[in-house]
Amino acid sequence: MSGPLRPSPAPGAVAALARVEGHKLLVHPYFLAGIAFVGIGSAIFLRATLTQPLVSWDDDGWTVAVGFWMLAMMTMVGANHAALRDRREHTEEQHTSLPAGPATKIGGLLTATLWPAAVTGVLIAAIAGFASTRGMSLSAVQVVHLAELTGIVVLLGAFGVAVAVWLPNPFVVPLVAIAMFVVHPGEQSRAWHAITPFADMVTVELAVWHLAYVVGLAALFGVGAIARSTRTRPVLIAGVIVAGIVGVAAAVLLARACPGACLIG
Amino acid sequence: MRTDHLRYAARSTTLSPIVLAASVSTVIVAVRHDHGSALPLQVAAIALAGGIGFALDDPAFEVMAASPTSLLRRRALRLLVTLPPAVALWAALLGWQGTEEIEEALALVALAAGVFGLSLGIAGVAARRSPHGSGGVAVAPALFVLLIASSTVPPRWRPLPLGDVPGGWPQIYAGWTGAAVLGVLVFALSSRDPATAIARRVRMRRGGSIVPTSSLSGSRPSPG
Repeated sequence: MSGPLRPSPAPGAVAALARVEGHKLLVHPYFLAGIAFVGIGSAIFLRATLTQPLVSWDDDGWTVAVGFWMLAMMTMVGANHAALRDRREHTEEQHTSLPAGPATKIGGLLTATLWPAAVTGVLIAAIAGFASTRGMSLSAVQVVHLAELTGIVVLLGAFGVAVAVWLPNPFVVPLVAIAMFVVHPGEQSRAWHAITPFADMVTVELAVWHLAYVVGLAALFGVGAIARSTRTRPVLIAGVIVAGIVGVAAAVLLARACPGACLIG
Repeated sequence: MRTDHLRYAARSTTLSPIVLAASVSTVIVAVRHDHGSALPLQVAAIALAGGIGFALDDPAFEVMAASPTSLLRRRALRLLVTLPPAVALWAALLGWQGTEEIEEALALVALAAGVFGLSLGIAGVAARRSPHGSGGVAVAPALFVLLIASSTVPPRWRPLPLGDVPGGWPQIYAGWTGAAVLGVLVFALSSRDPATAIARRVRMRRGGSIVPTSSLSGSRPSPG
């Protein structure tokens, strides 16, 4: 017989689960659909660079970014689908007999979202490399925004897992994805737009704050998901630290992203 | 049709996604009520369509496959329980939100019919292919993918237009009506009773002699 149930995630088991779940996530139809959208966005950009005389990242690179946003949303749906597998297959009860607790499984699922993020990073590097060969120099803000796309994939993946843990209904996350796609923040710039994941910042400093906000929010969703099954001291401390980082970053963005120019509310 | 049938169908239908979709739809229209926009009604239609997809989930489909009631009839009963309330709610939301012109209302009705039809088609195929008889989980993500894919097509050729397109109202009506027809056709095709197909094959092998469709042995292949 194995020993007593581990309340905290077991690092070795988390890494093993992350390898398996990460691979499954990469070949998941939802993720592959996201890759197709990245392909479409990149192809539009590629065509513009090859056919138009004056091309800039600001004017033509947005299709690439939109493709990666769609990839992030598909990662969210895929991660949620994976996290609800036990519920769907009615294997929750069987898995309670394993030596590793649910926190390990959730940790594995959360870590698995790094795989799509790594693929995103490679694709972004390839596109940025191609842009530089066509004489398009990326500004520092644009580089941070591109790097942030990787964080957004992790953020939405972690959100998908957290929703599966707290609201285990397979309809919730697809509904959120549809709402994110259909509902736009609006033409008029408002202060709260700065704390949406897809917001663009105008200075490097604010872009770095937004990156910190996105990464912090991803960690917060991760800690929140693990806290569903285990509330040990390290988990709670991590939660407080991460919440602090997110709170400070959000406050900075709300106060400084568009002082005077944005409407309040 | 006896009301017992509907009662049993309601009892065995997954209703929580539909209730969730109805709640979200009502809240969205309530929040954006004064903005005079079609967007809340579009979101409501898509959400309700996603919820309707779960109506075809039937974990007991393998057991029920041997009953004399055909797959189409069993599915129709489930839809009879869920579709009319969803349509009624969306119509009430349309009346509440209102539109600026009749063409816009017609376009929204076409959109609702289109997403409902697509939802049925996707759910029908997914439920048939799923080993557990549950296809609802695939509906909302598939709708999401279809909407994104449609938005990547140039506006002139966009099959599922959500906003203004060069073809105007006729293009919107045609696109969504086509989607509705296609969805219903796929649903009907995916609802062919597997037992009937087996019986037909057996009949053909025996040179036209009739065998009863309920005489299924344990050798029935899994649907899909």
